[in-house]
Amino acid sequence: MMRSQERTAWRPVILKRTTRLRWTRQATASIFTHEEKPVLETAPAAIRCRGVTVRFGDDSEVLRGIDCRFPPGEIVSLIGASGCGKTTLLRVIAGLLPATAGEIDISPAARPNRGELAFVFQQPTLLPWRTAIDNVALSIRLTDSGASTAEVRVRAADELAAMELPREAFERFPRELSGGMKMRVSLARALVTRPRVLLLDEPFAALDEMSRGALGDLLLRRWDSRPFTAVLVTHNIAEAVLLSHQIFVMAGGRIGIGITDDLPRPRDESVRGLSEFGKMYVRVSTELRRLAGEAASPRLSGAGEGDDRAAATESQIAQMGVRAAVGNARDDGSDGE
Amino acid sequence: MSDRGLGWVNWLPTLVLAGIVLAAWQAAIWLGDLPPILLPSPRAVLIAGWESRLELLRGAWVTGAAAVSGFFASLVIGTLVAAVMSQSKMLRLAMYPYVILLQTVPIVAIAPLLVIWSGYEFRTVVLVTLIISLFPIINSVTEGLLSIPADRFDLFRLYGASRWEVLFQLRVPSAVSNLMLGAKTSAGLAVIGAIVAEFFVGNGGANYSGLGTLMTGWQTLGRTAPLMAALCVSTLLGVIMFVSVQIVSTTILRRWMDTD
Repeated sequence: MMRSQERTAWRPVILKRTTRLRWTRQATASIFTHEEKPVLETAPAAIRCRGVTVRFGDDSEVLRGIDCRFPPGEIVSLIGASGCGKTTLLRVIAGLLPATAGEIDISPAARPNRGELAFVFQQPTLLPWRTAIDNVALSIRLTDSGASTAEVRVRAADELAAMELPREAFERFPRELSGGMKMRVSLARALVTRPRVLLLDEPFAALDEMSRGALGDLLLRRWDSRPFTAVLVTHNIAEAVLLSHQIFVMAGGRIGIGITDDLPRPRDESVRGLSEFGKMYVRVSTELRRLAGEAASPRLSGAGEGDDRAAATESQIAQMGVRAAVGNARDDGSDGE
Repeated sequence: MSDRGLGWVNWLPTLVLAGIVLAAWQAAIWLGDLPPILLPSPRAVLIAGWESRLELLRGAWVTGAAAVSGFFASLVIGTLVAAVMSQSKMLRLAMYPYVILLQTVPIVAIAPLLVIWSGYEFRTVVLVTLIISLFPIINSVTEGLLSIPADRFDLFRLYGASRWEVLFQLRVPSAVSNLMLGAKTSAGLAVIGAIVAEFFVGNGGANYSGLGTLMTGWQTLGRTAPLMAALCVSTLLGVIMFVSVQIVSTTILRRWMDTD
């Protein structure tokens, strides 16, 4: 089923966000609109982007009037070639980057300072002077000042256990952990606050194929046990098809239609063997090419740049396909754990 | 071949070089027939050092105490100044020129002034030591406090961390490696500052007997051999300071090693 992109006549509103650090907890929360109706403490939130535009300088438009809606409790992937604006959109949603124009509406409100909105960076971003458990405890400490030390440690340990980190690694420093373990700790740090919204910026990109698969499975299991809305930025079509409910293709600062991924759930790596998986892969790949061609057309990108941009994007998409195909074929990935 | 785990083998080239220098020194005295007041032999320096061992030990203790006190004062004050400077660009703009002054002002020129203000006292030596060793600490720690990797800073921004949380849980731990770097530079400078200050404090005839005081006294008496022995002791003191900081630094930084 194809879900059409909502191109409604939303009036772009200049967001009054600043790039400066917001020192008060209340101030950070206020950047998101609130709904007054009572909601479950950890109910997943819907994200709506209306005319979101980001410009760097006068002529560099990274996002061009993004309109989309990510339904509550779904895992949504943003996929596209490098430089298409995926990470920028994710950072705007997180409130880490101000939009030049447009509006982000998260409903029910996901207050990052309460841990209701969490972000997983491309690198594990662990603090090297804290142990694994202390890194996870950090997000509880920053978002729940009322939690006792014992409670913080129990919650952090539970989340690390849920991430299948061996118990003996809880008290290790990041330098003593493998790449896969570090990313488990990073995911645990994001999930321990029970976020309504989880934003993931290519979190598995630096991992080998086996670790990538294992962490994808873990993410799905965590979602099965406690659904949240997840927006996953990825270059990997197969990963997007495996994990997502919907896949949004991006190119040239624009977003395409949301492709509904109706492969059966619960999912695991075995889904890759289904013929529907291959069909979905081809469909996403085709949509990527279509949107890349559209974004690179002289009418949208300016005469003269079109051919170069189209060629570059085409090449990147081809590489994404090759990477994913290699990923599917490989079963001997080196152990990243 | 790995440099690690070889122990004394790593010191062998240094010891061989020291032997060559001593042999050349002794040869210069034999061949050049130099008077002892101009250049005593290594053996004469060793004997003079042994004969003056009590004075040298007491001097090393006093100078060491001043150097360590000034060094620790510079660690505390330098870190505090850097923490203040890290909080606002305006503060940095206002304070940085004065911080540079600490580095550019000739310590030999300011020491007599400090003696007038503070007296022929131990505290004056500590003050001079503090001034000379402060700049590397402020400079390194400020740089460490301000060069936070963007992702880590974003993590704290995202969770709406307060200014204090960012300072104490992110900036200060991130700056520890920079603090250690500055401390290594300051440790060597602290001994130099203490001895320079003692050149002036010792002139007052007060009951002060640091290595710098001994050196000016022996210079006046033309006793070159014990003067050179005092020079060796003060060099050793600087090396001990530096190596101590290096050991502490290595121990602490093992935990701070970055891995992303």
